[in-house]
Amino acid sequence: MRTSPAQLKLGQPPARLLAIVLGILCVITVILGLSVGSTGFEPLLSLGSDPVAAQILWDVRMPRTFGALLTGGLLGLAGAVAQGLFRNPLADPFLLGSASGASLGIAVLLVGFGVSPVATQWLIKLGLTGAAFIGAVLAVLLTLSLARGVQQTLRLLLAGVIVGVVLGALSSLLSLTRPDILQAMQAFMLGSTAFVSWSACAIMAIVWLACTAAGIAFAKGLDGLALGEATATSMGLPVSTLRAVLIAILALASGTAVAHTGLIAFVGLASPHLVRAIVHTRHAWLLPLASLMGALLLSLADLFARGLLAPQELPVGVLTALLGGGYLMWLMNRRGVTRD
Amino acid sequence: MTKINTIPNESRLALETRRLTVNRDNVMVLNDLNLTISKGSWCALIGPNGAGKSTLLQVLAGILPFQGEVQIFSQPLQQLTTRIRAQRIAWLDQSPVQSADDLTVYDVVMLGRIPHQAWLGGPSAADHAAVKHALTLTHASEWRDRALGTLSGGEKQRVLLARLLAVDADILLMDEPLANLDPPHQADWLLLVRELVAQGKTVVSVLHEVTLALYADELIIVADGQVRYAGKRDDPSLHREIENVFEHRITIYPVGDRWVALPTLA
Repeated sequence: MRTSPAQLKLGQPPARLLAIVLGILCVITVILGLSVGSTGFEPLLSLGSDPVAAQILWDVRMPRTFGALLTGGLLGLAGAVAQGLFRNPLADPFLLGSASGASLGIAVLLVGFGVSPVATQWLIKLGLTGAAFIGAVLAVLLTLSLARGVQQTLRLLLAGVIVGVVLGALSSLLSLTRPDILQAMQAFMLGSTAFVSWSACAIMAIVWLACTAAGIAFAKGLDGLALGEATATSMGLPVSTLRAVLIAILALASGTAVAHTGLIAFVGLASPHLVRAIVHTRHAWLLPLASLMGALLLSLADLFARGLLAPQELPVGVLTALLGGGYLMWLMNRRGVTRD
Repeated sequence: MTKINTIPNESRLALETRRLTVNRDNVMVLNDLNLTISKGSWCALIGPNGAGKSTLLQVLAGILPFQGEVQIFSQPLQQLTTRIRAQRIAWLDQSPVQSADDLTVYDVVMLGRIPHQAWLGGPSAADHAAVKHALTLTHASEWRDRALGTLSGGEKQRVLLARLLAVDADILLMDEPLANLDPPHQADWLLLVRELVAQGKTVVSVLHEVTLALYADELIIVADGQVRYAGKRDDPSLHREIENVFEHRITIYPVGDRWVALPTLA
């Protein structure tokens, strides 16, 4: 029996309802996103009659709108996985060093251009996205090797912090030697959906589907881990395998997101919190809900980033950092008041 | 090595250790420890802090590596499949659980059914029945829809106890199960253990409340990683050993047909 009356009474209707509401809000945001461009807001229907406008809609607005949605989805999912895996509500998707790895990847690529014709040819093939993704994955692998595997959560956390700081310092050092790359580096650090193409959307959609499916398949393990690793082991859960799979999901989702849109802060951290503030549910629901919440948050942030000062555009990462920081301040105060 | 996936019921002993040794961070926590615990009994482990009681319980739960022999119903613990071990032995940790605060009480208790469920499968009717029964036994049914984090320490402890009961294991290992429980619920716990033992289950609990431990069928005194003494609750030698191991800072007095341990202040 898969679903009993008891299950229906317990949290699932709110979770399902929240999923529907978030889904509807995402659709509305996408429609609004398609209607906002450098000329400000234009009703979507009026764009169809003008071939140039239709071209802009198809080539520019659609991929970046869906790109924001998918990046947010990946970050929300990765945030929920990170917080469940590390049993820490402040864990974020870049905890294992993927962001600084991606940043170093980009710095190496930019510095490497023009060093030799062969190197330049290879670097062009790799592209910014490829370099950022490889940097992110290598950084996570470096964290794993420093932590000597996935056995100890605290070791993993510390190794992630060390890798983050050291790789960040290396990127800064590279930027100092070649001041001409500073502008490109800054664009990456601020985060933007402006460069997302249809092929990037396709890659992100495939990774999102794979990571969500794997996350839901291992959700029962994440629930078990909430009682502590020793209790999870006593319940027969394969804790080491579970950690390895969850870290793979985390690395793939955060690496793919950061490679395509740069550093976008707080979406991964705040999305699971927002979901948990609305419903109390198991990870089988929390993961897709946090993903939907992330998709909605980043789509909204992207909409504001493009629409607030049109035709000027704000970097979306700056907007999410401001909004996310504000949210965390509020959360901290609320918790402080509750405890007192 | 072939793994064992069924356990015969003939064994008289639920648990047995021979020359059990455990090293943690290069410190010998258990040292050649030998004990036997009968099936269908309640055994209380007592001893000073750092004696190795919790480590012993973790070894018996199959979650800590060890040297020597551990037998569960006369079968070597290492040879049991993970699933059979998790179905037959349930363990309650003494550490407070905070990371499950966002799960509902019902979902937390349902986690006890993981050893009975397929990896990708949902809960069965039997799982729901076991969870409801466990919630009833611990008087926690009324909070079933509440988040664990909204409960008090004692209420949380009762939910975690319900999670343990939901496993429906033959051996229940409880590390300081009375932590945070008020006197009426401590009494409820004693009644619950009596009922579990009457059903043929074996309960092993680490207790610091010596007076309550003196309700157990058998007490095992653990000190310096070894069994100092094992005996029935009415055994005068056991009482003397308890007073000794706690450096005569407690004295055991008879009250009716029971025993009470009181602090020695002089």
